[in-house]
Amino acid sequence: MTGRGPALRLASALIGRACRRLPEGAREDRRREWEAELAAILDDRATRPPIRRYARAVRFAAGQRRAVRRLTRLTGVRRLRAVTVRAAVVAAAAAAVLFITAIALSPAASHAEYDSSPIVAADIWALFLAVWAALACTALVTGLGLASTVGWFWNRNRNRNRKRRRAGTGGRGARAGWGGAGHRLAQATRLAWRKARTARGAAAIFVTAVVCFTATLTATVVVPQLAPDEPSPGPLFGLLAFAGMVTGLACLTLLAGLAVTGTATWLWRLARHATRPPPRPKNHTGQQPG
Amino acid sequence: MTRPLERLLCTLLADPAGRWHGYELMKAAKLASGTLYPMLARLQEQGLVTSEWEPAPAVAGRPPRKYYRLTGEGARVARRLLARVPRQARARPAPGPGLAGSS
Repeated sequence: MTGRGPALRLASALIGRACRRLPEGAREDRRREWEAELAAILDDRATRPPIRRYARAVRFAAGQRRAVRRLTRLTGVRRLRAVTVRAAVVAAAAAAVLFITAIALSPAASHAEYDSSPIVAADIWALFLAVWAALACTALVTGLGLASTVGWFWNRNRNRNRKRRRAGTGGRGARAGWGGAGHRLAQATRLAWRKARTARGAAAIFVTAVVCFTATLTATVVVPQLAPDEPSPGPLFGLLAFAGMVTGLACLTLLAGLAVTGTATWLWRLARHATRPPPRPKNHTGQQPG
Repeated sequence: MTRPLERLLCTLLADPAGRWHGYELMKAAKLASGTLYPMLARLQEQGLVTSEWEPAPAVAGRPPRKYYRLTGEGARVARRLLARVPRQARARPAPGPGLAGSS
C-alpha cells in the first residue's frame, strides 16, 4: 500500500531518534523491540481503515520519546546516587589524607618559635591549607550524608502521608477536594522558605567561623612568620586574636547546636507522624462514623 | 498505586499465565506507549514481570517481538495491590487477547 512505507520510515526514524538518548547497553534491545511492534501495528488488520494503523504506528513511535525520558530518569536517579556515594568516598579519603598530612607537618611548624627560615613559613602555610582543605572535605562528606538522610526521610514521609490520605479519604476525588494542587504548592513553598532560612543562617554562621579562624591564625602564626623582625603588635592585637578565636568557636558550637536541634526536631516530628493513627473516613454526611 | 499501573495489573491478571506483547498490552490496558514501557521496565526491575524474545517470529518476514509475562510473585503482588482498590473505583481493562498458548 502507498502509506505503509512512509509511515514505517517516519516511525522508525522517531524510534531511532528516541533510542539515541538511552544508555549504550539498552539502546539496541529497545530499538529492536519497538521496531518489531511497529511492524505488528502496521499489519494489524483489525484496525481499519489503514490510515488509522499508520497514525497509530507514528503515535506509538512518538510516544517512545516520553518512554525514554522516563526510563532514563529511573537510571538517572541511580546514577546521581552513585555519583553522590563516589563523591563522599573521595572526599572522605581526601580528608583522611589531608589530616594525616597536617599531623605530619605540625612538628615542623612548631619550629617556628626559633626558626624563621622560609621553609618553616611554607610549612606553616601548607599545614594551614591542609587543615582547611581537610575541614572542607569533612564538611562536604557531612553535608552529603545529611542531605541524603534528609532526602530519604522526606521521601518516606511524603509517601507515607500520600498513602494515608488515600486510605483515609477514599482516593482520587477526595484527595483533590482535600487540598488541591494550590494547597500543596503553598505548603511546599512555606516549607522550602523555612528550610532556606535555616540553611542561610547556618551558612552565615559557618562563613563567620571561617573568617574568625582565618583572621586569628593569620594574626598569631602567619604575620609573625612573615615579619619576624617587627616588634610585637601589642596586647590589643592579641586580645583581638583571642576574640576572633572565641567568636569562631562560638559560631562552630552554634552551628553544631543548630544541626543537632534540627535533626532532633525532624526525627521527633517523624516519630509523631508515624505513631498518629490515620484519619478515619467520613461518611456521606461529612461526619466520622461512631 | 496510580491508575495506569492499576489498569496494567488488571490486564495482566486477566490472564496471569499469558504472554503479552507491548502493543497488545497497550490496546488492552488503553495505555500510551510512553506510559507502558517505563512501567514494564520498573515491574521487570522489581521481578514482578519477565520478558523474553520470541524464539521465531509468528509471521514470516516480521522481526521477532518481545513478550512480557507476570511472574508468580508478580501475580501475588498484583492481587494484593488490587485488593486494596475499591471495586467500584477499579479500572476495567478492555478485553485483550493475551498470547497464552501462542508463541
